[in-house]
Amino acid sequence: MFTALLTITMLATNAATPTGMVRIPAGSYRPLFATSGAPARVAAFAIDREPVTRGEFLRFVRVNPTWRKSAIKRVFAERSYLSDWRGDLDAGDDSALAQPVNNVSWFAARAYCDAKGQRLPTTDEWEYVAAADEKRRNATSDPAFISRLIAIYTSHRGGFRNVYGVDDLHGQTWELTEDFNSVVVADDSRGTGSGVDARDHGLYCAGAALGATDPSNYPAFLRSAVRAGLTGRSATSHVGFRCAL
Amino acid sequence: MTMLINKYVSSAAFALAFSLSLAGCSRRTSPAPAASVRAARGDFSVYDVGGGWRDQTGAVRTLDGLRGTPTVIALMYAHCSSSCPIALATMKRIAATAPGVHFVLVSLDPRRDSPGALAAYASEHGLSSDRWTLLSGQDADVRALAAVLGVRYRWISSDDVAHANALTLVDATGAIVRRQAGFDGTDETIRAARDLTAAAAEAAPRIHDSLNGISQ
Repeated sequence: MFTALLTITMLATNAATPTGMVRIPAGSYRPLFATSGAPARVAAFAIDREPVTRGEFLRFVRVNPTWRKSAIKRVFAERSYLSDWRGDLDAGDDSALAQPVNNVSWFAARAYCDAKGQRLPTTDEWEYVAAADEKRRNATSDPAFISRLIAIYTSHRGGFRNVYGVDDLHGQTWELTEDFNSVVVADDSRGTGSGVDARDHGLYCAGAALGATDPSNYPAFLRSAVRAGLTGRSATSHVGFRCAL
Repeated sequence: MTMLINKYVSSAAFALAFSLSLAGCSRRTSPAPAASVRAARGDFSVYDVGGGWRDQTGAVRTLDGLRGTPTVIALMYAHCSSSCPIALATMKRIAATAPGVHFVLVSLDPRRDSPGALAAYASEHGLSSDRWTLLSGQDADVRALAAVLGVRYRWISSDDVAHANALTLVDATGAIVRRQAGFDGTDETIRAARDLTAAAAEAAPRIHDSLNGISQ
């Protein structure tokens, strides 16, 4: 009976995970800017094994002309959108088409995932999966892992398949998340307080969130800084995305 | 070239990370990106972001329907008790000194801020529906609008959302004219709003004609 149930559950899980996606089990992780000591819970979800490629994005703009570089509304992307494409439907040769798409805006990335009935991963989901190396779900307390990520970010080389089976989370691109604009920086404070000590403001001041839980996790800090530097319409080299479900 | 870009991205991220680490809880008003806003005007409209919304009367609203009047847009939520009242007071001051400007308040907490809750908030604060539109929408639409307005926000407890105290002044087409971050700079916002309504008054007969043209 138990085996039968288990089999059914596994079948259901497999059926719910589309080709090219990896099922991620529920768990918890410690956000860099946790407001309390408690780790964040992450529910089970599915995520693309690889970043979305230029070729895949080309197929999207073929059937969704409003997202082509000459047609996109300015509110959705700045002028550098797909600036490394030669034309609306010319994204380069076969090797270029196999590369992760870059110079896409958050709005365009969202529209791409939405068209597939999917969505962008949340920052919590992305960071939860990105804490893994080849063997461990959470390798972030290992200084060697941290050093390795810094080397990858500096060279944009050396991506790997992690223990979940997800490829190149750390590699050529910084990846967009649904709530990228949840990185709250200093002048976003709700308070009008003196700002002498961010922690004094507790819940009422976003600045309190700046007390990173793990200052040694410099790569997580970097990713957070990249997200903080983006707007919904930024279209930047080395920024790409993958979808979740 | 790629190397250079890599370096640029990495060092930019480094600088950002560094400034984050130094950032306290200040009232600093970030400089408005005036040049880029000007360059974007004409083909940039915050209303293009779309989404499905309901106002305080429960009526279905589109952002496109907000075109036609200079408008101040802000994100807030009804039970926010810390800085939102100050933001509202700032908007009321603008309302009192810049007639003809419309105000749109978009809830960051649409689950709690139902049309009924927004109506109660409007009534409590004396926000008449001819000048004040309070909107509630899906989380995804709120996040999209926030992204367009450059408002960052995050739930920091089950009750509170840390968010930017930003007011965005748009012209009748939805082009961003001024973004006020924090509570400093209200006088400049009022000046900009009055300039817009004055320009709109001058152009009114012309706009009216062209609208007639469209409807025929």
